Amino acid sequence: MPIEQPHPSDQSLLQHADGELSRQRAAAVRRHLAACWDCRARMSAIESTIANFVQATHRSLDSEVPPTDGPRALLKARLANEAVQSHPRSWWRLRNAFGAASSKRTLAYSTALSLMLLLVGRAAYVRATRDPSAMSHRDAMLPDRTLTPGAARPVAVAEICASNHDDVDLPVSASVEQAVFKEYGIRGVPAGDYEVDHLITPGLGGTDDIRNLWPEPRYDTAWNSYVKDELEDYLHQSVCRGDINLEAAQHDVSTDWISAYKKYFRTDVPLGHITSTDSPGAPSEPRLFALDFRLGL
Amino acid sequence: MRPMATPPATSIGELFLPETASASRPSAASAIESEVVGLFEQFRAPVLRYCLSFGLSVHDGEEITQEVFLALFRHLRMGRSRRNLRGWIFRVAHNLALKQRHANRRSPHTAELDESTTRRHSDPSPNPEERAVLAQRHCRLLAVLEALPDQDRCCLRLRSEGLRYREISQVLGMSLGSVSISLARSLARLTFVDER
Repeated sequence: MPIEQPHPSDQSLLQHADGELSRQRAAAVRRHLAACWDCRARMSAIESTIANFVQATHRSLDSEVPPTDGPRALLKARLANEAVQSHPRSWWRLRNAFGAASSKRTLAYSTALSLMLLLVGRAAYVRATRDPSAMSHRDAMLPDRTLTPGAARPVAVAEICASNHDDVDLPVSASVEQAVFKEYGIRGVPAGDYEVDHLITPGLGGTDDIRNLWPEPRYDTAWNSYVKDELEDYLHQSVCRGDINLEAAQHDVSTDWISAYKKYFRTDVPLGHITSTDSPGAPSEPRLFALDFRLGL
Repeated sequence: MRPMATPPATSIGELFLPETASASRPSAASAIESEVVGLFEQFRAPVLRYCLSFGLSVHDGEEITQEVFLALFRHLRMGRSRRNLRGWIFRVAHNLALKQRHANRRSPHTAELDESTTRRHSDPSPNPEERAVLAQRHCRLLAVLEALPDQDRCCLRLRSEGLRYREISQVLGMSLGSVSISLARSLARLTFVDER
C-alpha cells in the first residue's frame, strides 16, 4: 500500500463531503484527511463557504417566501376541481400523450425501450469482440467468470470482524487497475467511470489477486458499485452476527452478486442508496432524462 | 430527504395505459390529493426559492409552484412512476421556470429584475457593524451566484435545496460527472470571494 497518497482534488473533497464517493474512495479520502492538515484546512474552507452560502441564500430568499396557508388553500381548491373532472376520456388521454410532462416520459421510455432492445440484440451479436460498450446491461455488472472467479484467503471470522470493514477495503494500485482494464479490453474510457472492485470484498476475506478484481461501472446502471457496497455491508454484518457463514457469503457474492442482493434484500430492484434507487431496469436513465428535457414541457 | 423505497418497475402495459382502475376510484383520488398536499407543504418553499433564483417574481414563482403540484396530482392519479418524486418535482419546476423567464424577456416590462440585493437582506444580527460586515459578505456571495452560468447556478441551487448529484443530473439532463465538476467549480468561485 502506498504511504504517500496524492492530495485529493477540491472536487473529490466536495464529493466526499456530499457523500457521493464510493466506499473505497471515501475511505481513502478519510484516511488522507486524517493524515494531512493542509487538506483538512481546504476541507474546512469548503464547508465554511457552504455554510455562508446557505446563510446568504436563505436570508435573501426566505424573506420573500410568503406564508404557506394561502397557497395551500388555493392548491386544495384546484385539486378538488381537478378531481371532479371525471374519468379521463380519450381526448384527455390524447392531450396528455402530447401535453403533460409525464407523458413525454412515456415517449422517452418507449423510445429508450426500443433502443435498449436494439442494443441488447447488438450486444448478443458482437459479444465475441469483447467490446465493453456492447456488453448487455446485466453482463456489464457481473464479472467475467473466467477472468474473475473470485479469490479469498483462509481467514477466521473473528479476524474479519475485528477490523472496520471500510479500512480493509482499500483501492488497488494504479498498475493493478491498468492490468484489470487491459484484461477486460477496456480502453479510452474515463477512469472515473469504473471502479476496479474486489469481487469478494476484503471485508469477507477477498484478496488483491487479479482473479478477484474486475472493472465495475460506477454509475449509469441500476446495479452499480454503490449497490454492491450495500450488499457487502450487509453480508459483513450478517457474517459477524453469525447469521450467515463466511463460506456461503463468499460463494454468493462471487457467483452472482446481483442474485445474492435480490435474495438477501428480498427485492428485484436496488433499494436504499439514493444514487441508485431511481433507475432500476433503466441502464441509461440520465440520457433518457436528457431526451425528456430537450422535449421541454 | 430519506431515500425512497423503490416500487417495482412499471410494466410496459402501464406505460401505455394512462389510467388504471384503482387510480380512478374516488378514495384513491382523495388519498392522492392529500399526498400531494403533503408534498406541497414539504417542497413549496424549496421549489419557490428555486424559481426565484431564475430572477422570477414571487407571483410567477407561486403560480409555477401551483402548476407543478397540479401536474404531480395528474401524474400520480394516472398511476405513473413514483420513483424519485423530488427529482420529478424539480424537473417540472425547472422547465416551467425557464419557460416563464423566456416569456418575461419577450414581454416589454421586465418584472422586478432590478430588485436590489441589499434590500433583501435585512437581518437581525447583534450589532450594526457586524450586520454590515455580514451583509457585505452575503452580497458578495450572492453576486457570484448571480454571475454564474445558468447551468452552474442551477446545479448549485438544486444542491443547496438538498438534491443529490443523481437527482440534479436528471433535473438538468447532465451527466453525473458534469454535476460534480460544476459544483466544484462554483464552490471554488464562492470560496475565493468568501475568503477575501
